[in-house]
Amino acid sequence: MPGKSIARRTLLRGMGTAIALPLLDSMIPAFTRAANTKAPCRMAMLYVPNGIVMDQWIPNLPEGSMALPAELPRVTSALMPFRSEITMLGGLTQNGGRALGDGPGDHGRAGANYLTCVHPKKTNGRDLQTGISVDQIAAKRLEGKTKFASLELGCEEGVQGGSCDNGYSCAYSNSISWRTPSSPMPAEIRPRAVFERLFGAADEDPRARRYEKSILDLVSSDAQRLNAQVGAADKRKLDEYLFSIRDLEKRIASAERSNAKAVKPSMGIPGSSIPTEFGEHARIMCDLLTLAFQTDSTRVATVLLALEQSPRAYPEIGIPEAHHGLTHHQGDKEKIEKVTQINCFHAKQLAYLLEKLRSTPDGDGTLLDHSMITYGSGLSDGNAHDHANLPMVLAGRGSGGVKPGRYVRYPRETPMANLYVAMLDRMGVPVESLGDSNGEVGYLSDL
Amino acid sequence: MICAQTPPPEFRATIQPFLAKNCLGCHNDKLQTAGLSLEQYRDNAALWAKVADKIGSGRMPPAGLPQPSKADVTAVLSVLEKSSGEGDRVTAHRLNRVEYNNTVRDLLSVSLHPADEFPLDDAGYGFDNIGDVLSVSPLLMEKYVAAARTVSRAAVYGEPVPDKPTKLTRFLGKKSQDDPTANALPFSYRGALWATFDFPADGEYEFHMRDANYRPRTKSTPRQAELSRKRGLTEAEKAELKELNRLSDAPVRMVMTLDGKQILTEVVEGNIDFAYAHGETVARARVTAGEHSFRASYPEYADTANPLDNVNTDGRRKIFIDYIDIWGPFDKGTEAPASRQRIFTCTQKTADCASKIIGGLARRAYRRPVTAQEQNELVQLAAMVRKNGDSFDESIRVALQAILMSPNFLFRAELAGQYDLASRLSYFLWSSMPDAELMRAAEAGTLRIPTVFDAQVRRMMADPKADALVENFVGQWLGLRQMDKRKPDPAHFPTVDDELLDSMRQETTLFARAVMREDRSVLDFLDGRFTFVNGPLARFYGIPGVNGEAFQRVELDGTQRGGIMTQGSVLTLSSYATRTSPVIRGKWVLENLLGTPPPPPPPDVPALEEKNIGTTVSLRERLEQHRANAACAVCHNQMDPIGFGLENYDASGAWRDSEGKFAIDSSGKLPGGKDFRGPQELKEVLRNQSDQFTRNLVEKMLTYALGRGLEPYDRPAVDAILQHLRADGYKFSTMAMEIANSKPFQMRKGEGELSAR
Repeated sequence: MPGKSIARRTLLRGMGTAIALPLLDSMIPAFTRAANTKAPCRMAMLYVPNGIVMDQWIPNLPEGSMALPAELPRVTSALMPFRSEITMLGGLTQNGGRALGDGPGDHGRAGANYLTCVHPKKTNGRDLQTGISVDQIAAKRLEGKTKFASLELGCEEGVQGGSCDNGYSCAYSNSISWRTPSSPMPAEIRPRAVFERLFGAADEDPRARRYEKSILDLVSSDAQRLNAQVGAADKRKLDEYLFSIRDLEKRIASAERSNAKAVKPSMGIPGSSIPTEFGEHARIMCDLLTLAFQTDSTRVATVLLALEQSPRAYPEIGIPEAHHGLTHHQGDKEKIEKVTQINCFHAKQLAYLLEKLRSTPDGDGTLLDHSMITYGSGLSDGNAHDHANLPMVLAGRGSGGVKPGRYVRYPRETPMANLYVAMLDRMGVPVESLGDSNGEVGYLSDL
Repeated sequence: MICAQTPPPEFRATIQPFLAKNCLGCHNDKLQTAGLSLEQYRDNAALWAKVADKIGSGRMPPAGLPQPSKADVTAVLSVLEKSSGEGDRVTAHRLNRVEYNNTVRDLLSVSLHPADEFPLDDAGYGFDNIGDVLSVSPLLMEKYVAAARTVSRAAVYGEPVPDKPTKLTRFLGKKSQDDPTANALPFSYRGALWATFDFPADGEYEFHMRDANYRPRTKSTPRQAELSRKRGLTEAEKAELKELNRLSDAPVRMVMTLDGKQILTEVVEGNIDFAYAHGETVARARVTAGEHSFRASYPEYADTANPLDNVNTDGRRKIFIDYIDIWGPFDKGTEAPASRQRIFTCTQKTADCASKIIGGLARRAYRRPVTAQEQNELVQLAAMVRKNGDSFDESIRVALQAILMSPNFLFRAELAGQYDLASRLSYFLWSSMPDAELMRAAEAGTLRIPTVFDAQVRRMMADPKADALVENFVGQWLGLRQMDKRKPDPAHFPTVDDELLDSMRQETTLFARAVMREDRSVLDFLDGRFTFVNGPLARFYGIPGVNGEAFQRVELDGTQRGGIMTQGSVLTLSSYATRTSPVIRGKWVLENLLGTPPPPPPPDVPALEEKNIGTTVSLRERLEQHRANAACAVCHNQMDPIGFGLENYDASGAWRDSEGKFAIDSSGKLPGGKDFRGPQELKEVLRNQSDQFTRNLVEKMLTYALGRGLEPYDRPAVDAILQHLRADGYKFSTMAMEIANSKPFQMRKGEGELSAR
């Protein structure tokens, strides 16, 4: 039986690679605010897997807050143009990622715990259990203010297979965003699909959606009837369904209320295919993220640049070996060099995003002024599966909540969750605690 | 820290002495083998359930170590299984992507594949149809809405078709094995191009294609060279040059087939200069709406010994299909699309007819009778559309969209007795909804009668739709989906292209299909003495006497190949891109065939020193360190020997007698087993562990059939299935039948039979 089948509709729209047009002055985002209203704060978490070569990330500096070193090592050197807009953080730990008696599985844990800060339950399938991720906590509280409560973007397709890492289901590393402890929010990796979520499909018949509210009502009552008849375990699944319906209904209602004109996006429609070259894929996701923030389609996002334990190779920079395999270098200098190159390649994409955000005007400043963008990994030393002293950079000024341009090293074992608590505070959705937090990190806004 | 808790008395009396004698040697606080210590009692039901399972299935203690007596095992199990707690039922089970596509196809005769755009299904226990792991997210919900909209429109109005015949698509192949172009079709050294396409309507379609001809000028005669360089040729000279170019290379026949039937053939002549002027070739064929497969290739190339004969020194192929454009439809059929015939069971545009249509659709889509309330709500929705001034057809379309978005369609929640059993059976064997005949049996209430049930199972397994069982169960069991991510590196294996890898995949699929449809023994998976190959694959394997592009069945007596362990698909996916790994292959066999996955490696194992393998040291010698260290040997003695037994097959699945300058040493010894040398003897050793193999396979198929992981309380059912299997020659078809008849499949835990409402 011969191979590929390609949706005809996709092909009708033409095959081509993504075209990103520069921002044109005449393209006005639909939701611009008046100049004197305070621009809302946005939050995005970018993730890279398998740890980072730490001595190429930041020099070993003492605890405390200090100006960023005059020169940054290889991996972070790409961020030099943004020195005054970034805060590098050291000493943060994810204790929940450690074994704590559950044996091997550091990658499964690292991915599942990165934004949830809990120790995920070791299971191959049944009863997944991690926590609610920081982005979803914010999303839930900010619901209704924007078209999308949150956006999950990614550049690597999920793994299908029972166990990804020693008894931890692949579901744990396929997503970093969790709406409930057992409901992952999968990332969309198709640029065209993200674009269409934000702006609608090009050839769509507007009439086609006329009855959708009534249809949603009908299926909603179907679900409630069903829910009343099923057992506890089934209820959990139907709850997910009901939540998703309600989420859709709210979005339709808020779109109607705001009577926004059709938004003219300031980029070309992405091609229908998924770019095979990582840099291209990452950049178009960064373009879409910038656009989503600019049009206030959402204020919360996550970008899974690669999945935890990713085996991706990077032939585009001359590395045909799998990323994860290389990070278990055991001191081999050649392998460490290759990992460093991959780390640099990833960091370049962050630099691209920061440039886009910095050059996009937003209210009385730029998008970067009004954002908090984190970039890091669930492991520091990928070879030793170390969950302490994690690499983390916080970019942006958080609408005044962050005073960047510094390096802060927190005391040993400071939970990463403390950073997330601080971020939620600055997003205007404070929480008492999150995961294993025991306070809020300081030094972000003080000098 | 593990707190010491007080064990209950029967635990102290029966379990602790057993553990001390049989388990604590490895699973103590100091060694913590596989991360487990049983030294201290812990009140953890899940833990003891797992322990019971390992002991009960004979997996622990591992082979090669002293085994406890049957009496001891029975005594221990009777205590442990009392405390393992009540099991769960299957959760409300949403359709996965494959099931969604198949169900839409069978419900409406619409062959769009909307679920291809859905986020990937999370998998559990090795399969993507595990209810507990399949979740619904807002992103997926949006996709459901869009899909329901698209499918309902296509079903009621037909797929959108341009008014005039237009170019619908262009198919381009990869230009080299490592060409990264997105959406390009798989690469073939032999220049072939093949794909499937969803034709929007009945009608005639044109296939415009170009044979690219880059056969070099190097063989020019002096006269040819002279004329090529000359300017201002006369007409006669032009004709002469053209003829010389035409004759400079042998003609090659190109054949294009649609659904396997030839629709075009032409001859490619001459060299690059001759062919340049030739332009496109066009084939025209009448096609019904829906998905069809086509292929354009050069059949005689299937029999060339070296596919690189078709490649120039600059890496570009000499002859290949450059592109295929599909134009149409011409002379569009006037009949309504098949989907309309399925939907519009009456033609009057009345409220009664609407009610009848909607009721019929909902019943089939929900896979059970519809309640009055459900029907009412849908009918009212349709009525509202009519009142709004929209057409009758649109009112039906809106109702259909609602049906496709309803949880009654998207989920299988088991509340409806015989209908549930019918659904379970059809999603097990067909990955799709029940057909009319199966529904009739459920409706008549006769499905539970053993003769009726068994007859249905047999009928369904004989149906072509049962190919889904091979595609989805066997495919996932063997990990065939990994093949795309584990391609042999072109630099190391320059004759392996996507087409060959695709052939390997087809080989395994055809093999598994034969085991299923011919009522063969599942032990054939271990060492069946036959397989299916086409010319290129046969040549790659070194099997004589097979020519041409078509697959043929071959007997393998007298060769080392036989069974899936020596099929290219498994051999490539259990290797690195650049070299074999006996450890990965050993692990693959233990995990997938024997069900005894090795525990994970300890955290700080140094990586393998790869530099001089093949030149100063063999791979086998390098891996000796696994055996030298006792702590490593415990696990590696199980894995490495299996891999060594298969070392004659390189990372692309081809046979080799040496690796660099070292002859392959394929001898090994499994713990508790005999010595063996070579793949054939390895297979015999594994055959002697056929109980483990069959148990594992039954467990896997039962997991797939139930859509949940197995619990210790399922073991009696597994034992019973195995007994029947043994008694009936280990037939694959018997296994499926027994699973369908098993208690866990037929009943819901804790509630007795799935009773009718």
